[in-house]
Amino acid sequence: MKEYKMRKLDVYEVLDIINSILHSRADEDKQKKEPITLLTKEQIETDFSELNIDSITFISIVVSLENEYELEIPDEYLLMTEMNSINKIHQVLKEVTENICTDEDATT
Amino acid sequence: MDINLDKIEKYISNNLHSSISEVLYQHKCYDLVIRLTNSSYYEKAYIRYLKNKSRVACYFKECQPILSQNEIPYVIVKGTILSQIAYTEPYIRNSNDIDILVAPNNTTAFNRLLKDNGFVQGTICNGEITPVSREKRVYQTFYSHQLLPFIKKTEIASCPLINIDVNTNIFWGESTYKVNMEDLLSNRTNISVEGIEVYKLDPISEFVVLCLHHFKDMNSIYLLSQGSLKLRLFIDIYRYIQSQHTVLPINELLKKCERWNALPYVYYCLYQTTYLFPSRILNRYSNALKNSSGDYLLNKLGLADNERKEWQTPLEERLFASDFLPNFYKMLNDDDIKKINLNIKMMQ
Repeated sequence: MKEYKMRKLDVYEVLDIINSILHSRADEDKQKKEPITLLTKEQIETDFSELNIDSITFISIVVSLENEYELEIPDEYLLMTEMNSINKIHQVLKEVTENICTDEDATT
Repeated sequence: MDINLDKIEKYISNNLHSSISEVLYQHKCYDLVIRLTNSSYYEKAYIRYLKNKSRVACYFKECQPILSQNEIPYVIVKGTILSQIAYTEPYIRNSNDIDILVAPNNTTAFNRLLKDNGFVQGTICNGEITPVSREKRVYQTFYSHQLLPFIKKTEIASCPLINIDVNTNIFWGESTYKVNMEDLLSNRTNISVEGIEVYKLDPISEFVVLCLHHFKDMNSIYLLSQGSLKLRLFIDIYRYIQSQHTVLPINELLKKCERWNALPYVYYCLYQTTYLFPSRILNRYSNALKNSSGDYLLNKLGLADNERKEWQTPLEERLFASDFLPNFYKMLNDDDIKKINLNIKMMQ
């Protein structure tokens, strides 16, 4: 599983997952009249504060990515400065999966 | 009594139907209540003091394996340490937990240490430790720089539950400032509590961290809605300066505040404390740290520029008026209310 997930762990895959979360949150919150704005490849480096993503949506994104890649991001990475863009989230996920694989290799 | 309570007593006698001992008790100033003669709240305050003494002894004994280790740098802030330093006795300030600072890159190791010693992360509900959803845990870590509380059950009646709060930054979640935590922790010193050697910050760092924490309690919209504005905050600052000024050189304090971008907030705390409790020593510090950013904050609330508002009442009224909350809520907009409700949902 993890080998498969690691092959897929590119930043555009992360972008797709984030957009699917934004889409499903828009579906859940039908009281909001504003249309959903999906993120684009050009916004990979943009700070989330400039992308109109509120804190609850951001948390949903982080937890959904954890579920998708079947990992738990350690507390030391859960800093706004480390995860405030799509690219930074991707970097954190990569580092965490690399650490997991290193630990698994060490124990086998 | 050494602390000048004239301003407080005058306001209370002119505006409230409560006695000064009742107000001091409500504001958790138990040491002052105990010192007042003929205080109707003396017994309640003294019982709290005795319970606190027993609880603190239990906390430190149970946490000794964690606090005595040297592999993961940490310091204890506030609580018992503040009580020992500022009030010369570790049991004066009520303490319901141990607040610890660690560097962010050590949180995983520190988590493991706590879990190996019987602590679990969760919240307390009806006296039981309740697990918390991943969303709440992530939210708390991101937005408060504090990990979800670590709790341990004991069989000891005086402390059935031990709570450790682990913090990874000295600023609040809304702040964009970051202090190098390894640098901060490199100046730690030893102190003995209940016969156990533990670590604390050097006096200057300790005072800055105290002011930052208390500034947050005095200005966070969420915390204010939960009743965080208490006289005790100002008494902590008063007591710390009065007891530690010989080891708090003003020029060193100023340099550290500037280095950490903490100057406006430390000045704010000093100014407001001097306003309530006039003192020559505090005045010297307040004047030396005076700056325009701090002056700007004096009649404001909020922790970030986009939520800053102006208070409509003087400090004494904010502290003691019985209608503080309804008037406070009148100042808030929809975004503020949304933030309060979100924090209540995710942090409680």
